[in-house]
Amino acid sequence: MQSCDIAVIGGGLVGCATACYLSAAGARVAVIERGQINQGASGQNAGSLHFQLEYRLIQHKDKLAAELEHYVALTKIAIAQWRGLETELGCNLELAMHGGLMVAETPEQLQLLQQKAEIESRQGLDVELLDKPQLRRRAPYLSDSIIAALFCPPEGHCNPRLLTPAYAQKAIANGTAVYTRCSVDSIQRRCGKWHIGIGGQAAQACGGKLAADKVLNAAGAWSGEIAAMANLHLPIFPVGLTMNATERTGPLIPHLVQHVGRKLSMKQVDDGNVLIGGGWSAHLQQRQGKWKSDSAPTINMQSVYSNLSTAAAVIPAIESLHLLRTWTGTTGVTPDQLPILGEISQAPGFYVAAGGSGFTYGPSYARQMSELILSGKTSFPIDAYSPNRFGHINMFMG
Amino acid sequence: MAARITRQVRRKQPISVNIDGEASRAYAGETVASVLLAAGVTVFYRTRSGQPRGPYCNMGACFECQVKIDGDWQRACMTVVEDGMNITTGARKSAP
Amino acid sequence: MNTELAIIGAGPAGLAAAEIAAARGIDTVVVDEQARPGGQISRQPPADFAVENWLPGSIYKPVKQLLAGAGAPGATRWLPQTTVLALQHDPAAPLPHRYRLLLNNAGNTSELEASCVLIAPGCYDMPVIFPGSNLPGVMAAGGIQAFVKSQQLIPGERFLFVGSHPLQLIVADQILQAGGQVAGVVFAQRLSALWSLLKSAPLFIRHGAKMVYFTRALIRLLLKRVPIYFSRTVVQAHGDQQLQNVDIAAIGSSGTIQAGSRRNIDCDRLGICFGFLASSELARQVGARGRWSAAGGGWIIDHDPWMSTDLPGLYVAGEITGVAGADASICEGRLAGLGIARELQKIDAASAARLAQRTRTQLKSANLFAAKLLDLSYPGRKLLQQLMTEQSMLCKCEEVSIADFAQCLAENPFINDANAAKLLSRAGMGLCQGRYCHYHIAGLLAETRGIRERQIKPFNARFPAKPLTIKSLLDKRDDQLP
Repeated sequence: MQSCDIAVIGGGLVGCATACYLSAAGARVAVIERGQINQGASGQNAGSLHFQLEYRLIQHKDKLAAELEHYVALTKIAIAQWRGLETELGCNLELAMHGGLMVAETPEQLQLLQQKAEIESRQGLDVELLDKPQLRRRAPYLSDSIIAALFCPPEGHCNPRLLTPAYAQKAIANGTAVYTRCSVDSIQRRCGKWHIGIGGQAAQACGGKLAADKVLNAAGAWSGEIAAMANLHLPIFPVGLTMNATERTGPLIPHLVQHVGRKLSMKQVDDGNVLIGGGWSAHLQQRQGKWKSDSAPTINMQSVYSNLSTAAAVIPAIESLHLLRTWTGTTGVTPDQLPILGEISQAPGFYVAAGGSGFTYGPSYARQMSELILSGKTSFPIDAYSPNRFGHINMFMG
Repeated sequence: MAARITRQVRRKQPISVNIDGEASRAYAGETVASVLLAAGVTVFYRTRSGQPRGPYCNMGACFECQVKIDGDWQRACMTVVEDGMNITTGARKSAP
Repeated sequence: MNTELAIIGAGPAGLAAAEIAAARGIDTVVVDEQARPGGQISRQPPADFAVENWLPGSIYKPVKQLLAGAGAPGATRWLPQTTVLALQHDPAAPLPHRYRLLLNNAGNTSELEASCVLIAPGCYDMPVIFPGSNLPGVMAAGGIQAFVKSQQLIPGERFLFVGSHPLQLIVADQILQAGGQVAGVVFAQRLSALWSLLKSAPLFIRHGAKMVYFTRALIRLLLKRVPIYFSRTVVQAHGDQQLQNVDIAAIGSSGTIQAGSRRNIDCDRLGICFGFLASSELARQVGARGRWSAAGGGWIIDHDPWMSTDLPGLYVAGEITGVAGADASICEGRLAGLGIARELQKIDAASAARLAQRTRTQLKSANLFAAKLLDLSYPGRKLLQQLMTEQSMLCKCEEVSIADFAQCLAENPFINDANAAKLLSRAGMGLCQGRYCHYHIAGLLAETRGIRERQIKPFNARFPAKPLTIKSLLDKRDDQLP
């Protein structure tokens, strides 16, 4: 039987990045991935680095005041980490931090932007409200219907095709064992160790089982299923989302573009394709009344029409571009929309890193988790994200 | 250069299209790909790195025959020619 | 709009099914990308042309018979110049809404719902990658043939054909008869391999017309002193802005290309003829089960004796079940037509079985011929991979070279799946949506990672099946946006 210090379940961004940081500190790490590295939401999302508060968070601003303060503090850490990431990983990630615009089309939306700018400035996030003449100069590609936008200079995008594989490469160089096409079939705690039963096409690569002192559940939308194998509840729920990519075109959109009142995110990657998303739903597939975790959600055509119409209303020039493909992915949401980061108190040595804005904050979640796993402490407080905030659901488990 | 087969083939009165600004003869029913080949055009578009490309599959699958037709990039082999069409070849794809 | 049956593809398989559907009173819509029905084998001239003595060869007789009446207004609705962008299956929906198709006609999109769908999209010429394979002037042999058959155009001056499929003899003959020049026909096989097909007595008895047609084409080429080369293949296409000449080289008895034997042939068109790949994108998009066939068209779709896939109400016929030619496609189209009539209760099971009997016998015979032809014409991975030198373009759309792809695999040892390789390398992400590289990516992954091609899942087939401008999808604008 293979053994290691830490078994990381899930070869997505958070799993690979945490494995990278853990192994850099000398830990013996194994990553177990059911399919391929970067196959899930980490590779299927649109790669936005969005640091402005999202509309959905602003809506509950009174209730969330304390959380907002914490959120902005985390954002500052994330921005610093992103700025150094290409140097840290030693490769081109197609990282662009040329600023992001959250646009408004109506006076009501403008008012929201103003409220948002006030909160964000108070918390120390760098934002600037641009009026129409300023927008004409700085973002001439925007539709005439856009009356204002909130500009956040560090926002931008990074290519999700490249980030997770870069972390995986680095993790391997640090000595991490990566087992792809290996599914986790069972998780048991015996004699102070976690015993993981492994199936799947390539199970023989690790002899079908793995013993580890600690386990990190980084299985994204499916981390609830993984937790269940360890007799634990985890409140994370899969949702299907839609993304669109146009053919390549010349430089058109230097910014990350979002909308304060409509579901939209747009950006242009280095290769010239425009990626269009923003949270439009796709249908999760079911098998015998359960979500099918091994199939991509199916496309909801109305989502596609609405997403493209919203995009064309904001940036009319995209109308003449060809739509190359629409794809769907599954992400995980938690009841309070915050990530779940930490050790489950009923199961010592069982850690979770799932949910939240997994791409924008993925590298930061990973760094904090590696610190927590190695030393029990973190350089940035993540107690607010602990799985134990839902502790009562595991009161009789573990 | 390509040649229209005339033996045992009757076409209607010729129509006229613009290829890169020059008037050229075409016949109803022809595809833009046929009209361009018959006019001696071989480079239909250039890739981002500047490589020349021209028709390959002639059935709408390969996208190698794209040209700008009345402002939009289209597959020449799948577009039936119309009188007065403006066809632009060769240009590299740039932002709309 | 809704219908009982939507047929995708008006080639031999689709036409044969449409004929049966019409006879059984099934409400049918036939969708095809071309302006007129016929498919690639009998791609008709434009309605505005008057062509005498069109496709005189005896091999075209069965498909030409199917064309009589096809496309005419009547109970069957024909949608020409229309592409199916999306095919979705809703198992919970009541019958007429079970399948939903999104159609594109010249930028106008519309939806069609159907109880049953027959996917009969045919195939396309297998792309072959070598230095210079993307130069203007290098074309699919089938593409050249379609210019002659349909557009009545000789799409160049001096043609060279290279490949391993005997179709190239027929295309070369058609070019000659139309008045073009043929610089040569180059076969990768030894002469003895072709000879073994021509002298196969059982094939001659059952498929005499086809064999005679091939032989006649060959004789006409020889009489015109067209050089026919064996045990040779293309190694490089040269030209500044367009094709000017081609290097061919000998293939040794071990199957290795002999670099020292290069010889240069002047031509302005090179026809590539190594076989065909099945167009299985829509079937894969909707989720029908398939399998890999390296020689028979790449990723092909599984079916039962009535041509039904594993999805209820979804049928396949023709090259999508494995490349086997027009005769087999016609038989499969008929069986699918009967199968659909059976499912829709337009015919009782006993009558369907009785009517299918003769077709099944014909199909068996056609498949026998097709299997012989595949045996003969499949070039094999060894040859294809020798042609793919480091600088040749694996993905012509995204300009990912063989060397780029190899480097990507070397740097990311954890990647062993086609979709993951696509995401990482961009190969397959362009306008052709992977149609021209997926076959080779499967081969390269299998070779590099020591896995079998059939274990490698195909590229996820995405909406839209063919790219279209975003404005074509905005007509469906929903003004009640959240």
